[in-house]
Amino acid sequence: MIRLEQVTLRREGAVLLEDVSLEVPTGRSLALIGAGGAGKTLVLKVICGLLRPDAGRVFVDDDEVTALDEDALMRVRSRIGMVFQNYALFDFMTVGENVAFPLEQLGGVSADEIARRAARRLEQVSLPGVGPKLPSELSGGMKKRVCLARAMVHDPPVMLCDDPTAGLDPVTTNRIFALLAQLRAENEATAIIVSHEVEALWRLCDHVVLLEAGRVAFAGTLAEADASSLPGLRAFLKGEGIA
Amino acid sequence: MMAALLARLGAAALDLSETVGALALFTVRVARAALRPRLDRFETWRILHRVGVESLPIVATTALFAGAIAVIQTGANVIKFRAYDVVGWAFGFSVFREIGPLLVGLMFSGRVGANNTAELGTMQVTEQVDALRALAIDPIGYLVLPRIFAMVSMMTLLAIIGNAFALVGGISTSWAMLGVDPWVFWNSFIEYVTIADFMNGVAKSGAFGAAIGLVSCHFGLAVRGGAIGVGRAVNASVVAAAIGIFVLDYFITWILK
Repeated sequence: MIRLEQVTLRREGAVLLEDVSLEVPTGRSLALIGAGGAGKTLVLKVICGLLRPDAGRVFVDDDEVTALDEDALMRVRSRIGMVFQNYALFDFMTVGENVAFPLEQLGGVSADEIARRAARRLEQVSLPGVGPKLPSELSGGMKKRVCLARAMVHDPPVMLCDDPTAGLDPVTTNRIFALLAQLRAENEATAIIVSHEVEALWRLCDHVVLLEAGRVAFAGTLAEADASSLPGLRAFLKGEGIA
Repeated sequence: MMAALLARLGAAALDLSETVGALALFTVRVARAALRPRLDRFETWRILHRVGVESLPIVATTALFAGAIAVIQTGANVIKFRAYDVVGWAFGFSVFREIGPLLVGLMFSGRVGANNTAELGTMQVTEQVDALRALAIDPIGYLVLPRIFAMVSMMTLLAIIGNAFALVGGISTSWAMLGVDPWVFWNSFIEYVTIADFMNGVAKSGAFGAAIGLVSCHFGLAVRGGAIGVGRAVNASVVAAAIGIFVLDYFITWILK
C-alpha cells in the first residue's frame, strides 16, 4: 500500500506540491498523469524518501516514510523498484553489472544466482547478450529497458515508474508496457506509473490521479475518469478543448 | 558605494559560512559512516587504481623537479660558502618536510580532486546518486568512503615514492650543476635528515589526502544545475582544496615543530 496524506513540498520559495493526497491499495496500480512540470516525478521521489516534504505524511505499507531517518529509509527502499525518467544507469558499470547491482548490495544471494537472475531480466526486456556493454553504447530505448530490468531484478513489492516509455517508438513502448503487466502479474506489485501513454496506462492500471500545478485535480477509477467532465482531464484523455 | 561594498562583503561572508558549515556537516556524516564501514570491493579497487596508479607519473615528475629545484635554489649559497657537505641536509629538510608534500598535494588536488568532483557531480545531475539511494545504498558509504580511503592511503604512499624521486632529482642536479659528489650529498642527507623529517611529510600528505577527499566529494555531491553546475563545482573544489592544504600545512607544521 502507498498512501500520501496532504503532502506539501516547497523549494526556494516555490510550492511544488500542495496538499497532495492519494492511495494505492496493495497489489493495485495507479496511473499518475499530468502535464510536464505538474509534480509527477516529485511525488515518486517523495514516496521513495528521496525528497522530504515540508508537510504531510507518506506511508509505504506500514512504514511512515516521512517519520524515518535515512538508515530506516534504506529498509523501505529495498522493497521499492524505481524506474528513472533519465535512466540513471551507473555509467562506470557494464549493463550486466547495473542489473545485478541491487541483488549484490542486498546480499544473501549467491553469485551464480545473481548472474542467472540478471540474465533472465535482461532477456525479459529483450536485451539478451548486452550484459558486457557499457550504458553509453546503448540507445535511449535500450537504456530504459535496462533501467526497468534493474528496478525489477530483486522482485520489489512496490514499483515506481517515472515515464518508462518517454521518447520511445511505439513498438518498444508496447513491449515495455507488456513487460510491466507481466511483471506486475508475477509479483503482484503495488505500482505507480507516470506516463503520457493513456491507452496503455488504461490497460495496466486500476486508478488514476491527475496532477495540475502540484495539486491533485482528479483522483478516481478509470471509469470515473472516463465519465468525468473535468476540462483538464478531458483535455489530457481526449485532447478536447485544445485549440 | 560604501553600503554596496558592505553588502557584497556580507554576502561573501554568508556564502563562506554556508560552505564551511555544509562541509563540516558533511565531514560529520562521513565520520559517522566510517564508524561502520562497508566498503564495496569493486568500487574501492577501481578508485584505488585510478587515484594511486594513474597518479604515479604526475607525482613522480612533480617530485623529481621539486627535488631538483630545491637544490638549484640553494645552489648559489652552497657555492658561495662552499657548504657542499650540507646540501643533502638542506634538500632533505626542505623537500621532505615542506615542498614535496605541498607540491604533490596541489598536483593531486588538481588531478584527482577535480576529477572526483566532476565524476560525482555528473552522477548527481544524471540522477545516479538518487538511483543509489533508491536502491537502498548509502552514497556516503558507497561513493565517498572508498574515495577518502583511497586518497588518504594513496597520498601517503605517493609521498613516500615521491620522496624517492625527489632524492634522485636532488642528487643528480647537485652533481650536474654544483659538482657535488653524489656520495657527499648522500652522506649529508643520511647524517642530518631524521626519520621525524620524513614522517612529518608523510603525515602531512595523509592529511592533505583526507582534505582533498572530503572537499572534492562534498562539492561533487552538492552540484546543482547541470553541466554548468559541474564546472562551477570543480572550480570551487580545486580552490577550496588548495586553501585547505595550506591551512592544514600551517597547523601541522606548528604542531609538529
